Amino acid sequence: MAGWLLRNAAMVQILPNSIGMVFNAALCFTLLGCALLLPALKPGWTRAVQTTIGGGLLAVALAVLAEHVADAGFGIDFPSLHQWLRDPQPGRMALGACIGFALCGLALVLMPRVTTKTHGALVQIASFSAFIAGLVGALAYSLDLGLLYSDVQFPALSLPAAAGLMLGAVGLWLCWYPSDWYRSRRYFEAGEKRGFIGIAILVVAALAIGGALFSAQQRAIEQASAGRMSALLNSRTALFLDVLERSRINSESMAAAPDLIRLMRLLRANPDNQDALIELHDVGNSLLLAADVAGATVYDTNKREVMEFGRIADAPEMIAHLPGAAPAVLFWNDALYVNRQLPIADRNETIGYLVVEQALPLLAKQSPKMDGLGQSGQISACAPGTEQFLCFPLQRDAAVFRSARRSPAGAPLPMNDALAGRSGVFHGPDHRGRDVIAVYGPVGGSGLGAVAKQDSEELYRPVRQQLELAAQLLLLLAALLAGLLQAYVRFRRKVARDALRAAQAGLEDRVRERTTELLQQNDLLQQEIAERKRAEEALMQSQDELRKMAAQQDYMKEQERRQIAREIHDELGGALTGIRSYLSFIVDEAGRSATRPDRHVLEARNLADSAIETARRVSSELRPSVLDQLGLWAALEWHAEQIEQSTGLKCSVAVDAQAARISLDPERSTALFRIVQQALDNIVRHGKASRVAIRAVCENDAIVIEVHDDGAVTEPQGFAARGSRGVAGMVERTRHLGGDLDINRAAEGGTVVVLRIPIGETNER
Amino acid sequence: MLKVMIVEDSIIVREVLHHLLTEISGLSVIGEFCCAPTAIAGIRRDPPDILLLDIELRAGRGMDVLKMAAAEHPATRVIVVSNHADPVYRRYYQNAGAHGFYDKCRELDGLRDGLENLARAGGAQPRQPLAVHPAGAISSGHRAPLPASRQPAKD
Repeated sequence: MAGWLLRNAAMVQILPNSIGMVFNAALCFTLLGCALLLPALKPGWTRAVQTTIGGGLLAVALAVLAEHVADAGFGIDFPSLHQWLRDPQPGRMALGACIGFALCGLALVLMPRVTTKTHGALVQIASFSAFIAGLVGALAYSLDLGLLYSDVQFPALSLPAAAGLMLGAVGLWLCWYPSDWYRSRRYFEAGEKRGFIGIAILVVAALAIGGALFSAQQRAIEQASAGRMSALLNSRTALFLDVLERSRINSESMAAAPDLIRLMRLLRANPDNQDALIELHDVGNSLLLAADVAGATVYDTNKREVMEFGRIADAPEMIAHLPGAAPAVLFWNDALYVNRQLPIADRNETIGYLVVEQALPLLAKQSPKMDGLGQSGQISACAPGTEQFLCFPLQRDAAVFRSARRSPAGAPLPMNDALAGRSGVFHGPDHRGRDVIAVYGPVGGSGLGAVAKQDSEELYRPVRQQLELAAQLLLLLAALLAGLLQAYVRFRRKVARDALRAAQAGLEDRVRERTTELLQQNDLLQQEIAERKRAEEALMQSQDELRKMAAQQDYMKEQERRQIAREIHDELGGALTGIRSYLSFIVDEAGRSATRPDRHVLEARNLADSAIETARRVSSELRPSVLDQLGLWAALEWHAEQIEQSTGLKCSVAVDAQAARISLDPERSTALFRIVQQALDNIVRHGKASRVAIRAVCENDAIVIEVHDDGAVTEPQGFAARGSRGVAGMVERTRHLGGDLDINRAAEGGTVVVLRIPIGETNER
Repeated sequence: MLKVMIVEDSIIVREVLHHLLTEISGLSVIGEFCCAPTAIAGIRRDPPDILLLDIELRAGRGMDVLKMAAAEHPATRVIVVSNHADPVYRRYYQNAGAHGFYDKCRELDGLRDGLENLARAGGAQPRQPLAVHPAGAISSGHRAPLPASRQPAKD
């Protein structure tokens, strides 16, 4: 833009002598750059910026496109800004640039609001098409694609603009590539994306290959064509010169004919010499018999016409003077003629003039179609003329024409070079403005120039047709590939789905198998559990029986002891009591009679006392009678007193009122007594306690007896191990009564044995 | 003349007691029983003034007889004469209302003294409970009130 404002060609064109990027294109590039870069600075603006700028680009591009279509200026091209640089339509963006920017704008507008698959596809296609527009522009510029489509303005895209469009398209791609709608699989499967990219690469590759092929062919075609035309031009100019030379010689020999000179001499002497005139008529007509002479006129020295023979052209279509000693004129009258004026000389004295008009039989023998030049081929020789070239065809069935010295675009034509005596190959627009390949050169010393040319459109038509066919094939191939890819993706997806389904089915089968196995194992387990339960029950029953047997044994032992104790107490005790009493009576009587009792009697009484004491002890040890006589609580008190007496261990018994009222059956009483007795025995045997408290309370239909000693804290297990047999016995007895027994460490120190027996069938006292 | 009833399962001891009672004037034995139910029936038929009661009987317990007598015939003085001389027995029987408690073997002298005292006092003397000493001596005086707890005396 600065280049246009500063009128700096280098800044505008970048490459010397190339087409410059117009102001509007530069403006569009600036906008596109802003749209792509601004979101990076302010992510929150992305949507607004892209929409606004995209809309602007679309508007400008569509407006210029409308100008192209309508072939009219709407005043948006800033022509005044561009006028200083030669340009047929100053300031107007090339068609390719219009399309490219319109596509960029479309992509920008759609990019932030992709909500459907179509939107996404449009953004991708627009971006890619913009790239292709740039690529085609660049190819056109570098490969001269204008030769193929010379009527289309499209290739007029400048190289910087083409490169800019490609870069812009890449920028667009970078902009939407990381966006959510493209990355996620919401709209496009991975296969579809790959397919699109594949087709894009294919199209670019096809364009590149096409361009390269064309580039190679172009050079070959141009060389071949130039060689062919050059040869044709040389042969044609040689022929032309030859025919011209022969016509000169012919006409000169006519002028030097002796009969003509003799008759002219006679007529000079006497212009009215009728005989001479008649003879001249015959001589003149005989001249016409010579080849190619169309007509002739004889003039006297005063340039008055003496006699005319044959047909002399009145107003030829075009006349060109040939340089040379004698005046000669090349003219066209449905054919090419040369008109020469020759002096009739008699011994170095001019006695008249002969004007001869000869047809140049140059083209008569030529075939109407010149080999290698095609329909649009043209070969012509031109004279400089005053303002225009005057051109005579050097081919059959062609007409003369006048040509400007420059092409409509203002480029100099090759004829200028040919007339200047230079020869060469030209490639560019001809006088009609059509793109041609031409070979040019001077026509000997005739002062004419010759040009052989062919429209490049025709020349390259076969190539174009080949390329178009190739492009169609490529498109077909691309479509085929896309279809195949799609089918492949579908096939893969189907295979994956089938595999998944098979795997699921397999999994289900395995689950079913495993479930069956598990069920079988479960059955086995259940059976085993049932068996174990039976075994356990049998064991329990056996244990129960054992316990019952043990209890029965306990009971029987207890009964036995009771019986023995009673026997000892009643029978032995009774007898001893009697003995002791009677001995006492003896002693008493002795006392009353104031005599000393017999020493042996006293001894016997002492022995009786001792025996009674022993009997009482043995009896009590076997079975404390207090248990039968006064019940459990008294028995516990009795036992506590016994222990206190025998060991010095402080032993207290506390029974709460409710428990005291309960009278247990003898069996239970005995069992409880024996348990507590065992507990106390353990404490005594352990020997670390100094105080034992026995406490009995009634709690929720159960009697709870606690035996709490203050011995050193020992682990219950230690306790159990220490008196394991005793403890086991306690536990067994407790179980038989349906109660439970705990041996714990007491919170306040020592060990506490807690015995809990359900009251069961007991009577309140 | 005070009526005395003997409840004792041992024949030997019964004879000893007979012998003892014959030596004391003012006492007449009105019945002898060897088991509790018959003794209870006998007491109900003819309540004695003094009942010499053994703890262990051929059937039933001495405590049953004592409780019945104490409940139904408070005038009857129940004197326990037993081989079971442990303090717990003394305590329980005393608490149940026994008038005296004597060891069969060792305290026959005390029993004799106590009976003699009772015989002397005869039936004219109003009923006065006797204190029972651990040693077994019976003396006039108030009986100690029932202890709230049955904890054995620590001595």
